[in-house]
Amino acid sequence: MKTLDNVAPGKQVRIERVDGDVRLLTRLSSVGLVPGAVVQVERNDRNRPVLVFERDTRLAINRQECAHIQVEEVA
Amino acid sequence: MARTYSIALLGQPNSGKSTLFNGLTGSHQRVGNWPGKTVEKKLGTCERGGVTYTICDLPGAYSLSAMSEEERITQEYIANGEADVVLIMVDASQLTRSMYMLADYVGGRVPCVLALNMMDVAEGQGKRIDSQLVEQRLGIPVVPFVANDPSRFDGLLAAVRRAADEKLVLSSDDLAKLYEQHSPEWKQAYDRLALTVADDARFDAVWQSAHEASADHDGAVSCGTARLLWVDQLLEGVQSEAGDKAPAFLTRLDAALMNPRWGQLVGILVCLGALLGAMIIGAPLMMLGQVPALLSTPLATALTALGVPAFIVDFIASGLMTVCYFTLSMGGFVFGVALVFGVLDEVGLVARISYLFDGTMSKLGLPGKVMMPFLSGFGCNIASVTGMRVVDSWGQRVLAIALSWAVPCGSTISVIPTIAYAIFGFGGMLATLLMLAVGIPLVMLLTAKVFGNKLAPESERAGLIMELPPYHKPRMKPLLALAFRRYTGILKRAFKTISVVAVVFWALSYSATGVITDSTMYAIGSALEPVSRFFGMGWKLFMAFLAGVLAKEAVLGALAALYGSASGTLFATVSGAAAAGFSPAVLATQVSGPEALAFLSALMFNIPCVIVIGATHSETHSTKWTVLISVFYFCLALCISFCVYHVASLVM
Repeated sequence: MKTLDNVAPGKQVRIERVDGDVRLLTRLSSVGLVPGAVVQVERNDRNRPVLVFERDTRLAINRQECAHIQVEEVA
Repeated sequence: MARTYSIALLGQPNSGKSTLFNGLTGSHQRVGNWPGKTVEKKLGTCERGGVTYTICDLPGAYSLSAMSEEERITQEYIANGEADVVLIMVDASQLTRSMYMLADYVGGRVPCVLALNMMDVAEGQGKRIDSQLVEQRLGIPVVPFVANDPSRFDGLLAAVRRAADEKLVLSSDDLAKLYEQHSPEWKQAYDRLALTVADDARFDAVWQSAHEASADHDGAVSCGTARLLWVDQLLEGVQSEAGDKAPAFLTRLDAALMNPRWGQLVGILVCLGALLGAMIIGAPLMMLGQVPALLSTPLATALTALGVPAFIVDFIASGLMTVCYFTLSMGGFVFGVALVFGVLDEVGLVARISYLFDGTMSKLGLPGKVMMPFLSGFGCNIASVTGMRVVDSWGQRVLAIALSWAVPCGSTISVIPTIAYAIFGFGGMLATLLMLAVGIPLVMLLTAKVFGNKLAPESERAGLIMELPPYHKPRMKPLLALAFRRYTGILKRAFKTISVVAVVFWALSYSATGVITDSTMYAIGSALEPVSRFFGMGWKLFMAFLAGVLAKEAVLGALAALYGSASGTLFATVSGAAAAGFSPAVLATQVSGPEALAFLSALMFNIPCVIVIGATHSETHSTKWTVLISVFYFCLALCISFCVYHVASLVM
């Protein structure tokens, strides 16, 4: 399965699983990043946070944290 | 007696609750720290229509989970029942995401009001939000709101009174059903807690079970999922979109900022442009500083004519007027920076700068947005210290302030090359550049190492996930009011601090005969000579180094007084150094190369000036940290001087 930091820009993905400590999980939930959520990857440049759009919001997520988010491409 | 309502403001960091807090309470604020905690406590009062409101701006939290000190304090404040009403602010332009905060409060039994802030931005995006439908579904007042528009305050406060008087509380039934369906961990906790939680507890069993369940991996995910589903249920059919985008100019700027190759450069250009703007805006206020400077000579003549004793004339004309000059000029720049940063923050550019520099700044334990205040430090460190208000967490802010001291300010950068050139010629300029390029990063890294773990522990660092808010149109009136309040605040504080220090310095350097060797300073200085020699500086340079703490411009005046003509005084810094006919070139014949280098490098990284100490104290409201940072930089400067002197002595 892919992790969020390996998704090409323009793709839509569904989150399948999130890992990490409770602190990170809580933070991810608070912005809507839980299993089942569908996010649009806007930009994914090397050495930069990944830019996604979901729940009316543009989010920048650090690459390290993206590696904790497993996703499935939907479109 | 009229009733008093106590309001607790709850909302994620960018929800606009600070804007509301400032707008409602104005200058009636008491800002300090929660006892024994590294978290800021903001309390304020306001009176409207004969009713008094006390407002507590709860520390910016993303949720009510007790994951950070901020969140624990927020949770405890509500649980202790200190508020009559919890006012939850959400961002209407990012409604589906920001409602999570409300979902997290469900189960709280303190009456509650929901403010849908930034309705104007949402409308600008072509969104229509049916707030009445939300109100029907929730059973609490729901107010469409614009935090920077004071004409909307009365409507919001009416809703607050209604919620408090009628005890309008959120129902947790719907969320309990969702928890039950999606979270076995919650179910387990609920079966145990349902009967034990007291009926009058501020958080009911549904809430407490969710928080207990969220303590481990699966529970945190399943409870989060349930809350998000609750939000989706609540907002079904509430929001309709017409899909309007940001103005073309901003879209293009955004594309430039996000460019992987040029983004950081564009970001720095934006910051520099902002600083230039700040200087232009601050210029008229900075010019006020010329008034006391111009007045000093005629004032001296007039006072002497009136028969006022010479030492008082000297104090007023050169001492007091110089103090006014410094305070007013620096205050003007601070005003400009406060206003420009306020605008950029509200527009949404600060978040983008943060995104650009997060990688670099996270090595120092700071969010990327400190880049802007850091750069403003090259103008004036007071601006960079006060500019750190953009940092949300108190600990990180104190760390950012400590690091911002390492940025040499405009006066430092003008004073040091002047002296360096006079002594070493062109090589001196190169040495200065080298000190800037190598010194700033080194000092910052060292300071971050020393203070980082205490102020911003690795485990509590935020900024891993940040939102890039949509571009907003700023409202100038509240921003101007805020900048002006900061301006007058800094003037008062600066004047107080610098006056005291100036009196001391003036008294020390005063000499009845006008010759420096008759002053107290000479006596102290020559007594200190063995100590200052150890660190690489002769007593004269050491005194000039100390004068730099008063204000960097004072260094030239001090050098003039100590090395130059007998008529120079420590305070003749406004027009004095030049007028006295002093040229730093004199130094070249009296000071050895290593000693001069030691002096210059110590000067660059010493405590910026006393006003910066004052500003740091008022921004951190912590005497302990202000003293720690000051002592650290003073010792650091002496160590640098020591090393440079001894290394240079070997080489030169």
